[in-house]
Amino acid sequence: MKNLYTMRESRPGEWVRISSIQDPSVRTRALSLGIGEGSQALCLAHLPKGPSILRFGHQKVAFGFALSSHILIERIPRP
Amino acid sequence: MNTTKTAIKELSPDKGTTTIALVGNPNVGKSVFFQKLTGTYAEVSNYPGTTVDFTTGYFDQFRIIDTPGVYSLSGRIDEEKVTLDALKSCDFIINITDVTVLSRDLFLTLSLMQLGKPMLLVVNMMDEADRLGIQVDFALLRETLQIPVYPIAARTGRGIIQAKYAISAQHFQSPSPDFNAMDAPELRVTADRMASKVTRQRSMMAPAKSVLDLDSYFFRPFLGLFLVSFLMCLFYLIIGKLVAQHLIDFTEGYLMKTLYYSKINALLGPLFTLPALGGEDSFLNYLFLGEYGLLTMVPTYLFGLLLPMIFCFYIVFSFLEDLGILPRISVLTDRFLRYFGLNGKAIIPIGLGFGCVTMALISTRILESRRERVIASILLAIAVPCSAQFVVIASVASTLSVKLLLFYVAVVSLVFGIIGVACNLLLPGKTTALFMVLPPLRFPSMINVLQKTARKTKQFLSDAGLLFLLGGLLFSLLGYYNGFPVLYHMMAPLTTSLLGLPEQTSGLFLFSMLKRDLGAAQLHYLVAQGLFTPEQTVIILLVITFFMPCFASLAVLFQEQGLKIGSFLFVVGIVISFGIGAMAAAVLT
Repeated sequence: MKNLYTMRESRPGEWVRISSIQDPSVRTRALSLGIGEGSQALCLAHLPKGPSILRFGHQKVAFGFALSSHILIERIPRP
Repeated sequence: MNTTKTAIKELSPDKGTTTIALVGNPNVGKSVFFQKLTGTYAEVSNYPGTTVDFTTGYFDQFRIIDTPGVYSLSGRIDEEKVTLDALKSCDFIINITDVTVLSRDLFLTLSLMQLGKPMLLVVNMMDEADRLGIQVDFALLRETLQIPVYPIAARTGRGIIQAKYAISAQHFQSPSPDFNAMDAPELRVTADRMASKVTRQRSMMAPAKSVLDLDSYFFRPFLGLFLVSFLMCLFYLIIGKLVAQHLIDFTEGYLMKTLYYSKINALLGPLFTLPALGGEDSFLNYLFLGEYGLLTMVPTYLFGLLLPMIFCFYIVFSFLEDLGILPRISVLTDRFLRYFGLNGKAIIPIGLGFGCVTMALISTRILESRRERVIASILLAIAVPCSAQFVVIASVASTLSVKLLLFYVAVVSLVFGIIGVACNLLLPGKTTALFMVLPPLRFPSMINVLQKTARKTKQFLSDAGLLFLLGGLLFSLLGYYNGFPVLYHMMAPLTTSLLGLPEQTSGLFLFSMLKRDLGAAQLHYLVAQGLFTPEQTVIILLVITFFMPCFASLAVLFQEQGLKIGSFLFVVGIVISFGIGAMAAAVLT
């Protein structure tokens, strides 16, 4: 079993893989934005009590605080 | 103005006209492509949600509909509903995708294919792909999807001729039913697999460098807010100081009041003062050339004062908009907007409100829940001044002492905050979390900035022209038949007693009711005449800032949020505006 963290706990500059998006409505929205369980991303920044910004491929996506604290990720080496 | 109802009516095709819907994810360049195809200007910006309605244009024998960008066809949010409506009635579909995020966009492509209508795929942003080292095997993509595929770079025009040829030759193809049974997760996996099969990246996961890589600065909490505040101050200085004072001195003071007045008086004066018409005191002379004259005051306000202000406002505003600043501000302010029951995305309609509240009220459709749309509409209708007002307020405020300026800013922020927090507490429901794609920062195309500015300025002139003439007529009648003392007397409890203002201010409020811009112009004129003390200026600025929305905004408010909320806001707006003015009067005098 790999170590899972919340998206909020990833560090800027670190590569992550999305492990689980629990909220079904968020999962559907994420899928249409091209993000699903297994997607890899580079963590760019977390604003204090604000959104987290991650880069998936060539698009930057902002996740509000409530979302980033409920999405589980695993840390991966730079692809 | 293009509203949903009229747009939907336009959708029902004329007999014999083939309709093609242009569909794609937000911010992939649908409107630029639409423009190249039809020659009709569709507003283009660098944030998702620029098109919230249809724009219709013609190419060959086809009617082309530019639809709001959507990520999926679930019909969950308003934009998706609007786009689904367009898809139901169209004959062909052109799906536009962004090559740099092909796997994301192919999800929509596959969903569109499930509709079974003949379609073709346009892959845009090939110029970006070259820059980023992305290569796509288009033959393989065509083979996999079994529909025609055309790579283009809409901004530079590359590939447009081929795409146009394909459209006019009706090279659309009905999609195979292979994907029809798939649900969302399966579509996602299929889209990812397809994209990775046809795409090659020269260096794997190369960092997405935008032309201006300012993002690393924007996304630091303090530096980001500092940068945004700096840009706001710069905006205010350019508009409020440079344009509103120096440029206006020239256009209003010299061009209109010196050159134009002497010419028009010399030309028409002798005609209107003919003894047969009543000589010097004739009504016609007063109506056309008097203080509120249709040929004196109206063109001075319209062309000498507001036109240059609005033109310059939109140049700077469109530049910032196209740069992609609004989504960055969304991220930075998300945390604070949660107190208002909104997420950062609401900054997009609220920011646009400083351009035109009416259009911004329609843009609230990009927000996820009805509750958020209502809150944003309330803030827009009550507390956001639109371009003409904003520019006049900025210019008048810049003449105030620092202390009074701070007082004004503090009261406006406080009221804005209280309304927001009250909405959050009183309206049932929860705030949805921010979840948005940030468009890359792009150096704006100056042609687009100018086109957009020209369009909005023209829109302003056509909106304001008639009402300004009406205002001129009304005031000339009042002035000629000694109606002003009656008006002043009637409004005295409000103006002199409650607000402690000179009696002439009632005219300004009357103008503002007719059209806020007209009130703003009158305010500029009265301040320049030195009618108000600095304290009185602040009181008027506060009343004007929170004054009732213009008729066009009210119409949209009723249409988008219903009669109940619309009329409630109308009344509350007036109460708040005069209430704040009265409180400020009590504090300051």
